[in-house]
Amino acid sequence: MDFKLTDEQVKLRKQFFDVCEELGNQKPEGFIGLEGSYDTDEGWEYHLWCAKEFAKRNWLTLGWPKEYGGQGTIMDKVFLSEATGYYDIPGVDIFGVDMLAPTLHATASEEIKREFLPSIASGERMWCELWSEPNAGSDLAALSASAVRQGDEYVINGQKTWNTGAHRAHWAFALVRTDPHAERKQKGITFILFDMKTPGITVKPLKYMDGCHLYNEVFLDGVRVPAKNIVGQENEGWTVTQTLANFERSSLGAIMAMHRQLEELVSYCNETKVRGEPLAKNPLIRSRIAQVACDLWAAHALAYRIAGAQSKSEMAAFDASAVKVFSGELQARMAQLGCEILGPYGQVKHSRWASFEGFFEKWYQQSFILNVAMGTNEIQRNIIAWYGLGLPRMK
Amino acid sequence: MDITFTEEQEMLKKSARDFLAAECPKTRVRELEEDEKGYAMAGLGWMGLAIPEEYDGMGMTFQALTILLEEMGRNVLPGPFSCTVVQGAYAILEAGSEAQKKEFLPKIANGKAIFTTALLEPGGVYYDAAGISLKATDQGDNFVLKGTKVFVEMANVADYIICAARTKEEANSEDGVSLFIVDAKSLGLRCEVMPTIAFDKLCEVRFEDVAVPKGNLLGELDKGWATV
Ligand SMILES: Cc1cc2nc3c(=O)[nH]c(=O)nc-3n(C[C@H](O)[C@H](O)[C@H](O)COP(=O)(O)OP(=O)(O)OC[C@H]3O[C@@H](n4cnc5c(N)ncnc54)[C@H](O)[C@@H]3O)c2cc1C
Repeated sequence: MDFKLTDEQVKLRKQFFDVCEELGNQKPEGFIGLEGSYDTDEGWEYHLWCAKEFAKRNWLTLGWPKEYGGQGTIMDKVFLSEATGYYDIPGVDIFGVDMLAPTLHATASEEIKREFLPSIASGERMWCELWSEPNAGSDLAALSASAVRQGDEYVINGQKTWNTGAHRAHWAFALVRTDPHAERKQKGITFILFDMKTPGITVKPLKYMDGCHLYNEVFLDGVRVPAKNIVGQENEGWTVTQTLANFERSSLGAIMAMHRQLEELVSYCNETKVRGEPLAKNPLIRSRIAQVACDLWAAHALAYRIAGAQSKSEMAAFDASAVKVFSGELQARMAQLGCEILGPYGQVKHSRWASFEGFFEKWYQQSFILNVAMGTNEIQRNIIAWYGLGLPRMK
Repeated sequence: MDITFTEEQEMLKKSARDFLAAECPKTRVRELEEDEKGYAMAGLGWMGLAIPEEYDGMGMTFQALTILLEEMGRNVLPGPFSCTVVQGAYAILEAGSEAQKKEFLPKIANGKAIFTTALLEPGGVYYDAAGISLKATDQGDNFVLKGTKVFVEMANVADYIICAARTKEEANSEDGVSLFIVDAKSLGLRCEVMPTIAFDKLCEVRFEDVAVPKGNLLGELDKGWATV
């Protein structure tokens, strides 16, 4: 194992950090995390603008095959996510760039790739994920939204839920049931793409606990989608979703965001005096910050190991689960520590009373997202138990 | 230690639970957060529970009050109940003159006055006496208060604010702090709700030369910290 970067990697990584720092100058006030992109018009415009800035530099295609305009390696994409994470810069669509593009590369027909990859590369088309349903979350294969073939269209009916950014996204990738009679629930599911402006789609806000508009319920009533828009084979959509496990899942973006938070906290503790002494001299605070710093470096080392293994196609299925659990829970702990150190001010939202534009209050509330979205930590622990430790599989 | 409830306490618990379940179901809790008139009224009927009977209260014990608070917590009842009763009424019971008790306790018991307490000031993070710098100056019939308090619970709906102010600079910061019962409608008093994670109506209260009658000094001059 060798974490030493080549000179070229060091140069490129620095370039990513420099550009992200500069993009950060245009950031709307109070823009924080995932909510930043989706909650306000201003934030969404900024997201689109950053996407164009990255596209200009061909950075939305890092690790893609050359024939589709790709450049660089998966490792380069990891470095970019470190930079966007550290400066909290949007623009790399988590659905289009991070999830759909690699899915298409791995499983889609040439025609689909030629049709849908260019607008992801150019940062023009933003995507949302319509997978979860009221009765299908962890047990995603239980999904029931149906798609019935009529001529050269599918007609889709059903309800999706928790769909991040569906009120802003241009297009959706969805999972629908095309064979209700399949012998296993994983069979008979199809992966399909459609325009969010298609008639029959109703998007209703589901407010996040802090009141922000992050995710939605999406109702599909007789939505007609060209049959050619499926990815992979009809009824084989579950296999398509399984390829996601092999994508960049090092969590390095989230980890770099935590490095930033830690730096903010440390400088706050150095600068803030209570009873004549800087907080940094309070032994309780020092010890808790030091503990979080140790955990953070452990998470960082784990993430680099996984990114390295992944770029050589040597990643085991449970490796990414381990780093997701560890860094997700660390994020929650660190945001809480931030709120505690700020004392009563830790609970104040972005306003003239809040320190750091309400940064820690927001992070605290968003820190739960990683532990639920994309497979809850309980599910990740099950995966580690089955595949990693060889414990019996529970039904 | 006997931590079982008496029959009377069990009855109190049940009637509080039934009342709250009917009057303030979970759906109402969210509505109340946005409804200033609504949350200001929440729990008013119970204000007198632990106030002595001679001041129009029901004369029950502090333990009875904790049973009620537990039920209110169980129901997530928003509102100024605890700051009025636990902070306001008890401070007056402990430190108030007979005249103050006669004036304010029946109002609280009858649900006619909401109280809160103003301690923390901008920049302060500990609830300690050194953080009290809002100045109260003796000006004949009145003390005049000047300064800013933050995180004052429910000040936006309060009728009275018990304010900890500095009346004398002493080497020991606990000396020289006095408490004042300030009419929330006083001239020069400005209140703004701070947005917080729990939407719990913590307020910034600015005192711009607010005149408080001397009769509203709560407890002994310069010796208020013990009550805090
Ligand atoms: C911020 C956020 C954004 C999201 N964005 C999207 C999106 O864009 N598109 C989309 O399709 N979905 C999205 N989701 C949905 C997300 O994928 C689901 O919430 C997640 O898969 C969990 O499903 P559920 O909410 O139905 O919980 P459930 O599956 O009902 O789980 C409830 C609890 O039971 C536990 N549990 C369930 N099964 C097991 C088991 N076998 N063993 C042990 N414990 C178990 C879970 O860990 C959890 O604690 C988002 C969720 C969040 C929080």
